[in-house]
Amino acid sequence: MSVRVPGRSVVGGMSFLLALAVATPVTAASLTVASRTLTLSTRAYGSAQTCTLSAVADSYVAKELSSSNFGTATSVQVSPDATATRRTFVRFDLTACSPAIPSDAIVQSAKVRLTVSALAAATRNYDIRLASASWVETSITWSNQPAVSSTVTGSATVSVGTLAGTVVEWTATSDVQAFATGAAANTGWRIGDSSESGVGTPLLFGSREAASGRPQLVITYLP
Amino acid sequence: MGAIGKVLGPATLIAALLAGSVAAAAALSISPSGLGAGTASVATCDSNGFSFAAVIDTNGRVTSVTVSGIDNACAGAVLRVTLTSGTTSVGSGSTTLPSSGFTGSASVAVSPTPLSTGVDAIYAVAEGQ
Repeated sequence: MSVRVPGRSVVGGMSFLLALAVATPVTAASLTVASRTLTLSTRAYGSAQTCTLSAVADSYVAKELSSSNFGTATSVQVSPDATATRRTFVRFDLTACSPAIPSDAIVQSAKVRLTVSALAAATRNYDIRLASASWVETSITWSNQPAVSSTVTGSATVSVGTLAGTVVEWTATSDVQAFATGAAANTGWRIGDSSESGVGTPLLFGSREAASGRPQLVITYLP
Repeated sequence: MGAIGKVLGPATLIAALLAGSVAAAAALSISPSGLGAGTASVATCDSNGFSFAAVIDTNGRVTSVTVSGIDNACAGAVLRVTLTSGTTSVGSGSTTLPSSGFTGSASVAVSPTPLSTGVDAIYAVAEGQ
């Protein structure tokens, strides 16, 4: 489409050219209004979609069992204990979402959900951070666990007495957006106590091998 | 949205995008019938559109937009980005594309930083010389 507007001097008495290139759908138009060239590109998003993913890999690592792998266990654990620290790793496959999450999507919300599988013995704060390198569910150990981002993606507090079956949720919108755009590799997350020191007891969550209460990632996005 | 609305929406946005540097453009009359008909006659630095990648912080706010797929012909242009919710601008920013060594993409910081839940479209204008 095109439109030509009667010349109006804006810059130096010359005509002004406005060129529109609309990305989705790809259409274009030009408008002569002055002496400069402008290109307009638009991305208008459709309605929000929600995708609920199951984990494709999860495990935990134990400091005191530094060479042990727990990839097939029915629970994952987190503990602040200085000598028996436990950390959980979990990963989801975003390509399983339908409709697909395009690289120019806007992620409105992404929540990592774990379900408590045993009574919480203390009130603790747990952080989720992006893993900095890939890991393998059946071989990750304390000794070979990947480093994680220095940025805390999200935090959640679990209160003492929290019952089994309670869902704990971490916001991970920023990371999922980065996965979608390619700004970050989807190497999953590490969930750990925000203060790994002193003594403490592990908090257990259902793993993807559990009969119920398995990890989920719930994404709401504009495709 | 009706045919007129489809035309008036972009026309309004164009005026808003240009208002800062080319105030006179906003005063031009662009008729719906004119925009909706005719044959393409494009003279532009990029004819196939840009790609967008929003960056969202841990608070769920869009802090910047990476615009890519920009033709080298746009080098030296001022790139303006506007995020909208409906017909309302909820964030914007601009940067000048380098005149030399331009790689075809640019990151534009957005201010204010809207929640990602409050953005439904991204517009970018490359304003050449």
